[in-house]
Amino acid sequence: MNSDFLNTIKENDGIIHKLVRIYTDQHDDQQDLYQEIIYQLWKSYNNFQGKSKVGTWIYKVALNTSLAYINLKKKHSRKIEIQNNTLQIEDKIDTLLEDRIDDMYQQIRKLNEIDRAIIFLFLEGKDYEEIASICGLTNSNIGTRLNRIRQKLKDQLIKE
Amino acid sequence: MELEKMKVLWANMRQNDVIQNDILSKNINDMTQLKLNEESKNFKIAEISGLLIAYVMVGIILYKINMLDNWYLITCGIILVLYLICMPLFTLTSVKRMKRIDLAKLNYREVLEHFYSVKSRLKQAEKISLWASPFLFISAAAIITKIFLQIDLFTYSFKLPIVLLSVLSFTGAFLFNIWTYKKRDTQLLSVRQLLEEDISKS
Repeated sequence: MNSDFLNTIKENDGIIHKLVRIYTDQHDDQQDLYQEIIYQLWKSYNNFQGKSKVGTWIYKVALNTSLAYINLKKKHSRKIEIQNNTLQIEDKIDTLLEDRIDDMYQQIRKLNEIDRAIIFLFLEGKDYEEIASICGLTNSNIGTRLNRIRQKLKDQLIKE
Repeated sequence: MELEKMKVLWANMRQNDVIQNDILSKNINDMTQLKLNEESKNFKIAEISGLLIAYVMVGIILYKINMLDNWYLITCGIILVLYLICMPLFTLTSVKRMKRIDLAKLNYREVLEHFYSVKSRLKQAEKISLWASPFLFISAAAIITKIFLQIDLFTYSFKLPIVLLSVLSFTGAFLFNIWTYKKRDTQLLSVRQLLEEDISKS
């Protein structure tokens, strides 16, 4: 296996783990989606070859794969056994922080697929331009959608 | 939780996951193997359907063999039965060989050798079918008309509708052959791309 690819994945693995938790809540689904993202990244690695930023490439492939996974999940049901230690983020995080993180993911998962992608990129510290470029939307659209997301989150808080 | 609070929490999230190269490689290999198996399964379904149709025909011919009452019809029957028994088995075993490509155990050279050996066997089968198809068509037509219509095509005085029907059937069979070859080529191409993607990163 190409060591460059493995190193790239290792360096950006956190992005994939976070995204997987945004789009799925079950452990099995998380493993499936994680694997699918890695596979799609691996497939597109030759074409990527530094044409864009590594981060942008990973965000694009991972988001597209997640959206496709959500849409096709009902049609496709395949599972591969993978070693448990590929997904072990939660084990080493203290319980209180873990609870807050779980709450946050739960709130994010209540949003629709596109809003989840936008909030994910926003939380990752991307500016409007980058979010727009990755999601294929305009800057102003991102601004509007983020305001709506902010409002939705507030509404969720009030309901709780 | 508000967006700004989320952002602070997000920034404080630790990423302690340690992903190992060998685990990642194994997982990618597993996925490629799974996709390869899926592709082989598609091949297998098509070949098994062909085999079933061929064996039903063999059953009919053998059941009605006593109706083939002269040497040329018997010869046609024997050749057709042999072809219908052997050819689907030949292609099915080739497809099974494809499933035996173990990406985890074989090196890239062996994977390619294995794939091209399967491809060459399938192409060989295609060539045999193509060259044999005129004779097989005539044999099949003669036997079917004899079994179902009690007409000996070789001694029958041809009338226009019969000739037209024969031409149409022959054209249909030829086009069906072309379609199956193209379909198989597409499937083979998809398997080749899958394997090349795998080995190009090995």
